[in-house]
Amino acid sequence: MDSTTECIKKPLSVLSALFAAVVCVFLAVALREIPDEPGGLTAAAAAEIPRSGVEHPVTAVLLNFRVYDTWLEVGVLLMAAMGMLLFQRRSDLRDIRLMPSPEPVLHWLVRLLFPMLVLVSGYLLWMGKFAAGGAFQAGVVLGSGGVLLWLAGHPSLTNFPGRLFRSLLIVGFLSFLLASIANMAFGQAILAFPPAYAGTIILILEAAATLSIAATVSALIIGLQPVVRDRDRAPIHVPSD
Amino acid sequence: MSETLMPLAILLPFVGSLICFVSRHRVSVFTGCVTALLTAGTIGWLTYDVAIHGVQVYALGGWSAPLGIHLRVDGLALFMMIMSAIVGVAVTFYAVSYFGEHDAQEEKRGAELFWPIWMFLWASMNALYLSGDIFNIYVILEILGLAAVGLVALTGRRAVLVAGMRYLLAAMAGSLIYLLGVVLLYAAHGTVDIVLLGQAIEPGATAMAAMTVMTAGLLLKTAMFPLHFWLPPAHASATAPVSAILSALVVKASFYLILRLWFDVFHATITLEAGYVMGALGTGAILWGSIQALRQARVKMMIAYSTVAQLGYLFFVFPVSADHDAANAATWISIAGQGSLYQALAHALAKTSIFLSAGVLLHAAGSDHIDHMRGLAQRLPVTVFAMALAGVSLMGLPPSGGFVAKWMTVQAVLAAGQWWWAPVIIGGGLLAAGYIFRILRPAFSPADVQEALHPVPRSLELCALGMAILSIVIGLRATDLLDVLLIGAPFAIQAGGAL
Amino acid sequence: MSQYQFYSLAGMVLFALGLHALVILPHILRKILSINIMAGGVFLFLISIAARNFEDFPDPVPQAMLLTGVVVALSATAFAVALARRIYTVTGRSELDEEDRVP
Repeated sequence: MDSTTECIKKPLSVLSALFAAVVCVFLAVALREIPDEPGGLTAAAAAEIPRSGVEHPVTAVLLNFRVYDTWLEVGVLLMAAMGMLLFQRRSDLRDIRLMPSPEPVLHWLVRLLFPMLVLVSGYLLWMGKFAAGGAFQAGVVLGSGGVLLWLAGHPSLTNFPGRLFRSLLIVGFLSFLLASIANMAFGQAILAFPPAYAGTIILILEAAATLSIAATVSALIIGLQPVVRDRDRAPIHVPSD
Repeated sequence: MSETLMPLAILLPFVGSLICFVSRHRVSVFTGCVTALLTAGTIGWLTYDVAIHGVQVYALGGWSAPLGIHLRVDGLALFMMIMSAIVGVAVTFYAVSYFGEHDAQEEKRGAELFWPIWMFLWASMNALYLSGDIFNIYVILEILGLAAVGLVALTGRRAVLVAGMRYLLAAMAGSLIYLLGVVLLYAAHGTVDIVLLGQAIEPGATAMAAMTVMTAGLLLKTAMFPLHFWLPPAHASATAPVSAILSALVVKASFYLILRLWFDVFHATITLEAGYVMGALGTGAILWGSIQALRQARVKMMIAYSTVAQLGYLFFVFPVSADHDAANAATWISIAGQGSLYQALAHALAKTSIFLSAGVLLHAAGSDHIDHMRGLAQRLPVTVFAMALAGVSLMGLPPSGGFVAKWMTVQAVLAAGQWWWAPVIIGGGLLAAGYIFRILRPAFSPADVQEALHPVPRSLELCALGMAILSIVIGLRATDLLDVLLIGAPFAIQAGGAL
Repeated sequence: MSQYQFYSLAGMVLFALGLHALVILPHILRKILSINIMAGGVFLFLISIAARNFEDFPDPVPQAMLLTGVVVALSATAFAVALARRIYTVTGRSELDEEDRVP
């Protein structure tokens, strides 16, 4: 990890720098031709907002016009969670040791603050309809709460049994899938939300995605900790200095 | 019902993947097999539907482009999906026995996650072929890359992890470089829909830059020479079913995308020079890949380098189609396109067969060193026969699928007056014969010592043999498949879609 | 030079810097960071496109693409870090060397 082992080969470095410079100039030339006018799909999106079920244009694009992208994006997140479980040879987080909690104040404070985080997360989720916000922001706040709980010596995700833990990881992706299947059953195009219910459907999908994002984000952090084979062993004693 | 077939081909494997992820191992295996058959059935039905009704467009969420995302199926997309389905079903059934054999706990953890990740990968491939939106394709490429690396790292051994890391870095960088091109195109034309972009594009610095970066990023993901550095270790160190999936299908997905972009988006921008660069890369791949394959001591490493070489043949469609102003160009562009895609299919089947055979070999003899192949023809006759048949297709001998593909490609380059590619294509066949005989000769020579072989489940050998036979048979029934390919494809002559 | 062009150009420079770093730095974490810098460059370009001379509201489509792209980049980074961590546990090394190339 230290800098002495890092040997950068001189000729390669010069070549690569030259190449990068050429790429940069090439792209800069291409930039000059791009029209400097408000093009794009601003007007097209604005015209369809009333039918989208939300009021904020970005949320309308993200969760209605291009919701397919968002669904697959939740899929990438799920893939990352599967990768972590695969690399760490785990099927859940139960064999991860609890952080010892040498600081009773921290232990207490986190327990007090966690409900606040849940509240903030819920607010962010709900706000996505009118302003910048939404599932991802809400999920990350909630997920950070999960990490914080675990850091302060509370069990959090490490107490979830395998099946439940994995269900939590997939619930976001699954909700979009179920919505699509329901669309098919009603003979609609998949991921089509009837304008009257669009707002509600989007909120449900976002809530499910928030749960999955929170679980994934905290699992990605907690899951990289070393395994304790003997689950009954007491938390490792931290020597005081 | 028929309009839901397109999304169904994506949804089904996703459903299978989620069930596999939360279920016990035995349930996952069953779900995997059922999902594979259902998905293949859906694609078969879709083929029938497209053959009757022609090209189909599906507006997701009911929003039409440019605001929404379109799914679109034509002969080209369908051909790739059929290829994935054939290989997918074979690999799925092979994997049932293959992963059923492992009993070590560590290996088992990996085998459990094979099913959800493989189903996810398959769904994302179908999604890629059906997508009509270049930004959407970026997200799919990322899923595809992560899933492929996950499969490589399945066993968790040292070599696999390092190879997987190289692969991951190449895949991530490749998709970002591609994304830069997507942004350039959106900046210039205000849409990311393939059809709309194809109508809006005009020659200029922006289009040229977008074409260059998107092609470069995808070449890195296709492992095209000289950007192939990550492929041989990753494909050679993965488990047999995974190697087959990667070599046969995953690298072709990004090749498909290059083809789609050149024909459907950048057709007005392509210059003859750009085409020649691609042809030169193809030549380099064939020569370098074959020579490296001749030098390898391990069967799987040799097959992996053979993939580098065989990918080269796919690229002669680009120089030929770049010469689109000449008279009769449409005819030879069409032949070149068909030759290239047929090569993709023939290689997919043959390479699946050889990698699956190599898995049998590893399982039986515990090693895939070429020296350990001595006398195997008597002891594993089915597997050696499968390897020989697949080898015939790789060499391009008649009547195999590989022969039809290479024959069409040679015809196209000669008709286009670019005769200099022809010796490369023919010479590549000779080099392929060289490395195939390196494994067949010891197999047919008598063994000095008879080491005990680990018993091999018959189903493993039969999956490999089935693919090998198919790689020959498609040479005899080429016209049927090529008819599918030509439905609304960019290089169909009658549609006037040729460059 | 208009404001949007300045940001776009900065994005291109970041992209090229990331590319250079990705090629020359052997440490895996640094390679992952380089890719993130490349991603940052592309995202800056994307968002500058949305904001060029807008009237009421900047183009929402690139903004949505950016949000999607950020999550995708985050997921891929987490995946890569998990793999890097595993490599460190198994081999005790955190660099990609020439010797590893042929197993």
